[in-house]
Amino acid sequence: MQISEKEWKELKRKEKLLRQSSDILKVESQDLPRVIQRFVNEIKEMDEKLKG
Amino acid sequence: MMDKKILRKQFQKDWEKYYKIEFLVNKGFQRKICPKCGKGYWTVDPERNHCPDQPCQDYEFLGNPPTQKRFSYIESWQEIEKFFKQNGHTSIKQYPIVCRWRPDLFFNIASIIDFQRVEKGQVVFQMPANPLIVPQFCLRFPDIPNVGVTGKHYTNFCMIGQHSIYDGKQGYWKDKCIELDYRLLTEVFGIPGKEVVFTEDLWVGYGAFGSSMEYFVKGIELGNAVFTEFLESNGVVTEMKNKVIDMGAGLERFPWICNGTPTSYDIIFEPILKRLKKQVGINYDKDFFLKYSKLAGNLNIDEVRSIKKARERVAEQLGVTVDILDKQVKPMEALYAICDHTKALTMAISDGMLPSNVGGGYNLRVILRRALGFIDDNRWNIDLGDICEMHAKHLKPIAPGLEENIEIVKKILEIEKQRFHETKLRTKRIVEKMIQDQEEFTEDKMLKLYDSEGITPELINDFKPDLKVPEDFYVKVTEKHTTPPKGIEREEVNVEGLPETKILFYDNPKMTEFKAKVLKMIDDKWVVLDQTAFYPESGGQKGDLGFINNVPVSDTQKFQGVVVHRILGKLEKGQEVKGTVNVYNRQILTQHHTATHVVNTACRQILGPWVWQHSAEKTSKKARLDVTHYEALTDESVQKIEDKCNEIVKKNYPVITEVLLREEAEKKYGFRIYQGGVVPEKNLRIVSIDRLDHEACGGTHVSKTGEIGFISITKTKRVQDGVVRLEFVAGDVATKQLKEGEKLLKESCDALKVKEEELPQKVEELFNEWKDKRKEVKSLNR
Repeated sequence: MQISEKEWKELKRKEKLLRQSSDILKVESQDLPRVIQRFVNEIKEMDEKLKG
Repeated sequence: MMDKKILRKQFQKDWEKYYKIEFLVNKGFQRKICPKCGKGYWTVDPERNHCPDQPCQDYEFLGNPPTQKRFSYIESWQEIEKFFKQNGHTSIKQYPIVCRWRPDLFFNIASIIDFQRVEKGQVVFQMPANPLIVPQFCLRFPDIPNVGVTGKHYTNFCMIGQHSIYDGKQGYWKDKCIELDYRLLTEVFGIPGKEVVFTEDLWVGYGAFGSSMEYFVKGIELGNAVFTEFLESNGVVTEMKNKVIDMGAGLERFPWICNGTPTSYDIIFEPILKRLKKQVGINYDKDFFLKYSKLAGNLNIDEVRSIKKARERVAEQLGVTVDILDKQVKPMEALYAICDHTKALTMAISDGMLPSNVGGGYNLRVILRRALGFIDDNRWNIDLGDICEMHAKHLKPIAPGLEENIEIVKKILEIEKQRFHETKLRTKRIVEKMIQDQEEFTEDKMLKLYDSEGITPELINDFKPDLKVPEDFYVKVTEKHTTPPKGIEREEVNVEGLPETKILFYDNPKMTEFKAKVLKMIDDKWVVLDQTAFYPESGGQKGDLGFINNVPVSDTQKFQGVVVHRILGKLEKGQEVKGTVNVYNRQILTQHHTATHVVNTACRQILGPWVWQHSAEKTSKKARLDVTHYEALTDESVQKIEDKCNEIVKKNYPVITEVLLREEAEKKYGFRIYQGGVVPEKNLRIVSIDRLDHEACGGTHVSKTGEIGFISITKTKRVQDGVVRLEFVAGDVATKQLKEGEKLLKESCDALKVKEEELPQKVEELFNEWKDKRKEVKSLNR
C-alpha cells in the first residue's frame, strides 16, 4: 500500500480536521459520525418539543 | 556472604599477611593497637597512643593546616593527576554521574563503579587502562539534612579513583599502592610523614572481599585503599586471579587539609561563595566560624534532631545565646547547602536526569526544593540557574562537559521553580479545604495527593504542622511505581534441561521458512524446537506468529535462551517439522521497531538531550514509546517530532547491525546505547541508524529507513511525572488507519452537510446549539 508524499500529506490534513472535531465533543474519532448524528437528531426532537 | 566481624578478627590475627606493607616497615612505621577502639594502625610517631579516626581523635587541622601548600579545589586535582601520570597511570575522564550501565543504581556512587559491569549475574571489571586514575563525581543522598550543617557532608563529591588490576605481571599490588599514596601526601601535598597514619580494615561486597588501609592526617580520613583478592560462593573462598586495587579518596578533603578552613565548603565552593556572600550581604566572621566549627565538628552530628541540642551546647561554650549563634550560622549553612545542591543538580541534569516524583529524579527534586526553600526563607535575590553556571565554569578543568549543557540545566531549573511555587499554592488551598471539611489526612489520601498533585507530606507539613507522616511513606511510593500492574505478567514456562535454541533470524533476517526438529512439548501447548526463525517476544517487540507444519503459532516467548512456540494443536517429540513465519505480521513488527528508534531520535533532537527511552512496546496494531520529558507534549512539538521522523524515513538512511564487545561498543557509541536498559552480556548487538542513533537491541529491523514507510503519531499523554507517552503507527498500518479516518471525516461532513475544512467550526456550533436547546427544554419543563 505505497502512497506518495502528496497523498500522505492530504491524509494527515484530513486526520487533523477529524481530530479537532472529535476533541470538541470529547469523543474518539471512530465515534464522531454517530455522535454528530445523535446531536442532530436530539436538536430536532428538542425543536419539536419547544414548538409544541 | 562472610560475616565482616569474623573476617575482621581473622585478618587482625593474621596481620603480618594482610597489613604488613614492606614500604611502611622500611619507612619506620610501626603497628599499634588503639586502646580506645581496638583498631590496628600504623605510624612513625613514637608518641602517638591512639588511632587517628573519630571519636578517638578530633579534627586538628581547622585553622592549623599541617602543610605550607595552599592548593585550591581545582589545583588539588591537577596536582594529584600530575603525580599519578608521572608514576605510570593513565588519567581517565570522569564517567557520567547518571549510572546507565548498572541496573541496580540510578547514580554513580564510587569511582570503581565506572569499571564494573554485570554479566550473567556476576560483577566483572572493564578497565580502559591499567593502572589508572579518575576524578569521578558521585551522588549520594542519605545525608541531605546534614549538608551545609556539619562542614563535611555532601550530596555530591568527587572521588579520586586510583585503580589497578594485578595478575602478578600487569598492574601493581598493595606495596606500590601504599607507597604512591604516602608519596602523594608527603611529596605533593607537603604533609610531614609523621602526620600520616594508616588504619587496618577490610571490605566485603558483591561476593568478594579483601583487606583495606585507610590513611588519615590530623584526624581526617583522606583515602581508603581496598585490596580485593578473595571470592566467596556458598562458603567456599577462592583467591582471585586478577586482584583489584580500589583506592578512593574524596577530593574535597585535600584542599580542606591544605587550607584548614572552618568547613570544607569554604574551600570547595570558594569563588562561588565569595560572590554569593556579597550578593546577599553576609558579613562573614572567619574567626567566629573557626571557633564554631572546632566545637561543632567535635559533636559528630548524626540526626537533625540532635543538631538543635548540639547547637545549644556550642552556644554555651561560645558564650552567646542560641539566637545570636543562629543568626550568624544559619545563613551561611543555607548558602553552603545551596552551593552543594546546585552542584549536584548541575551534574545530574547535565547528564540527562530530570527532577521528578519517582526513581532517580526524586532526590533531585528534594534537594532542588530544599535549596529553593532556603532562598525563600532568607528572602534572597539569588537564582539557582546562575549558581549552576558558576559551578560549570569553576569545575571546567575537571568536568569540561558541564558548560555545554548549562542552558538546558537553567531551563529545567526554571520550570521546576515555577512548578514548586504553584504546588505550594495548590497545597495551601487543598490543606485548608481538607481542614475546613474535617477530612482526615490518611496514608491513602497522602499517597493520592502525592501521585495526582505532586504534593509531598513535607509540603502538607508546612500548612499542617501536626501531620504524622508514615515512616515508610516513600518506600510505599516506590513500591507503587515499581510494581507492574496485574495482568501483564507473562506465563512462566518450565524449560529445565533443554538446550538453548539456535536462533536463525540474526544470521538471515529475511528467513521466514525453516526446517527443525521437535525437542519437547510443554503443557500440551508450548513446543520447543532445536532451531527457529520465529522471533520470541523481547525488547518490547511482540513474538512472531505463523505455522509449524499446519499447526498455527499464536505466540513466541523465550526462557533462559530456550524459545517456546505456543501452538493450537499437537506435535510429537522427535518429529521433523517445517516452520513458516507470518511474513506480513513480522514486517509490521519490524517497521514498528525501527520506527521506535526513529521516534526516540526525533524526540531527542526536537525536545532535548534529556530524552531517554523509559519503556517501549511494538505490536502489529501500534507502537508505543515512553520517554523522559518534563511536561506534556504540545501539538506543535508533536508535529515537529512527526515531521522529523518522516524526514529520517525519506532520507532512506542505512540501518546497520553489528555485534561488538561491550567495552568496544561503549567506547565507540557511549552509554546512550543503553536506551532499553542494561544488557548483561559480554557481546552487544548494536543497531545504528546511520550516525543518528545507536542502541543495544536484539529486535528485528529494516535495512533502510525508507522501508519503514510513513510514521504517524496517533496519541500522546503524560503518563507520570517526567515521562511522556507517544503512540504511533508506521507503513501500511498508518496508511490504513488514515484512510479509515478519511472515511470517518466524510461521514461526519455528510451528516452535517458541510465541507471538510468547515467541520470543526460546524461541530462547535452544533454542540453549542445542542447545549442551548437543552437549557431551553429544561427551563420549559420547570
